[in-house]
Amino acid sequence: MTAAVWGVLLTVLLAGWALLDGAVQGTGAALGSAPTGAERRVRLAAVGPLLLAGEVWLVAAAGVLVGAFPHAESALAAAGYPVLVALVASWAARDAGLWLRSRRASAVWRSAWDRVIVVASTVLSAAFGALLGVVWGSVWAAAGLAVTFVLLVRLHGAAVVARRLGTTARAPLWLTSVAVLSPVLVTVVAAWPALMHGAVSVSALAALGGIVLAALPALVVVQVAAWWLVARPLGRRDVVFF
Amino acid sequence: MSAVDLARLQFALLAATHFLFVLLTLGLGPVVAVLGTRWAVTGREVFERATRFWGQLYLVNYALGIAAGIVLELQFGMHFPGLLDVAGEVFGAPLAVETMVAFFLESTLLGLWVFGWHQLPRWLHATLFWLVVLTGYASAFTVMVANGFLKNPVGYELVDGVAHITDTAALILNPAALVSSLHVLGACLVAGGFVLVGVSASRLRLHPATGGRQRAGRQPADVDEDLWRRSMRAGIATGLVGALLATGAGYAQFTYLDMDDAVAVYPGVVGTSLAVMMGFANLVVLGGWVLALLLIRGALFRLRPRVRNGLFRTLAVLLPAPFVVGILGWLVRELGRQPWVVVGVLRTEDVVSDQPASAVLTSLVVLVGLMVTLAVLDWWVLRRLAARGAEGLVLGAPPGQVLHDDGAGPEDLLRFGAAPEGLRAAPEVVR
Repeated sequence: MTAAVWGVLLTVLLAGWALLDGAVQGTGAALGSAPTGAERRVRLAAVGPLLLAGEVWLVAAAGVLVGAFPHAESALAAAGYPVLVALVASWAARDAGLWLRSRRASAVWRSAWDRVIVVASTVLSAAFGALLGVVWGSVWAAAGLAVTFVLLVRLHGAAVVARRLGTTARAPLWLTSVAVLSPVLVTVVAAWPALMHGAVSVSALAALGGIVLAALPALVVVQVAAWWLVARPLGRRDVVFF
Repeated sequence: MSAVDLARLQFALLAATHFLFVLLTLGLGPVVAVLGTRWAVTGREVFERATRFWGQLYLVNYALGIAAGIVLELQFGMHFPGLLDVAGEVFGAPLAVETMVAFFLESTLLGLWVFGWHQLPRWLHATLFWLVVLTGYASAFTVMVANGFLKNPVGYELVDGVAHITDTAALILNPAALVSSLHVLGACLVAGGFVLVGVSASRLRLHPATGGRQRAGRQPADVDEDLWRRSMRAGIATGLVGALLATGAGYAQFTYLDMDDAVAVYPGVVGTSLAVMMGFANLVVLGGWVLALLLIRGALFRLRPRVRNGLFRTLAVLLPAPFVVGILGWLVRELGRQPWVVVGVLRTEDVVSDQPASAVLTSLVVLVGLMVTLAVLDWWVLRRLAARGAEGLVLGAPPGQVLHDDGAGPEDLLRFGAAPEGLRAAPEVVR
């Protein structure tokens, strides 16, 4: 696998994360608009299977950065230091909120975690958008992309929940999907020369590529199975855990 | 403190927090897999409840472990860019395999196990958890390959100051990766064993049959007691196997480690930690054999009530011990490598980023503060879940029942196949 193929893989992973985890972020950020506790749990159940299957895409993207483009990663970390801290902190807080909120029946406990989920989901989307902006190299791009990404994942999360509950969303799912992908794709295209410059040697890329290609069928099968769990309307054979 | 010290302290605290979760994930995994398989094969209620109870603890622990791991992974780029610039190709490769293959599969498979609970055939569901354990172990091994390279760099060459892999097999078969992985795996099984034994001991003390003033019988009184007796037995077996593995592989590490070097820079901390770890491991082996012998004909559950309750209380109190010792083990390993980040190749002080100390301090306060808070909350929730026993488990419960317990309205309940007036009238949830 050449550096260009690795670059495409990185793009696919980032776009996949925006699509899958974006739905969870959007649902989490809009949790406050659900009137009752049961309604919140139903919404979280609608996107629940996407959490574990979705966040692995960004972890894998970070792995591609470390393994194939370590010089690009250290450059990005230096330029976007505070944004990265905000990204990982909000990510951890969002996950803690989702996993812990329903573990106790207390109303105070749940409403406190719901607030954490709303704030952390919003900050997570904003930080990811801002990190894309850091790649563009301007504060204005960072601020603009942060706001854009927050708004797009809100629409996207609402579209996924509506699809599973059989209601009508403001924007159709195909449109919101394209919308959350586009900032990632445009940014990677713009950063392409710098990314290729930050790659490791060709032999190392080839060896790493062999392992990833060998595992690819298994990766695809488990991911498709996870999407299959959310492809149908929410019903009695689903799991309410969050 | 300088930026170098702060970056190192931040990494150490985050790594220690992350490892607390890892200990339980890897230690409890095989037990949940066995319980799930026995449930699939026999269909008995005791195995269903055991799978759901221990599976729920596994899950809540795993989920926050991921969060801690993500924070840790980004530390290299944020604070030690020199390591990636010089050794990124060698050190980054196993980490890339971990994130792209092992962890990717592990997490997705675990999601399928949780959310496919009512949809997948029972045999496939049980198999999924074995795959979760397998990929989890593979994930830990790849991390140890990366860490082993730092401790004992092999299979590479330096060209113009950048390391390139020359021998992949040497990198993987590195004793600092292979033998140390077995040592870590043993430590994880010990931790899993302590949690199984400690929680079961607490539950049995509360149980009217075993915990009462009279001697308990040879046969468990009910499903609940059966569950905790079985968990206790599984815990003793897991802990003993783990202790033998941890000590065996631990002492085998001295074949490639120079302990005089390891103790040289921080004689106090490393020397003390090493002594505590070795003493603890030997005691666990000894105690493990005693408990295993007491399992013959169920003698452990039929001890005199006062002896039994005293022993069970002690076992419950000892639960955190392997977690403390696990951290000490990492202190020995990581402090023992200093002043090197890659032994003989790169010094830690030469790879640190040029972020100002104030920025590193801010991220230390934010990230370490957050992760320690989450770890403490998680530990507290796990304790509460354990104290609730096998009643009202959410994992694997029919969705209608969960929402009914939550006071959901008729519309939501109908969606999940539960009749609004009460669960008794609800259509049977398949399996």
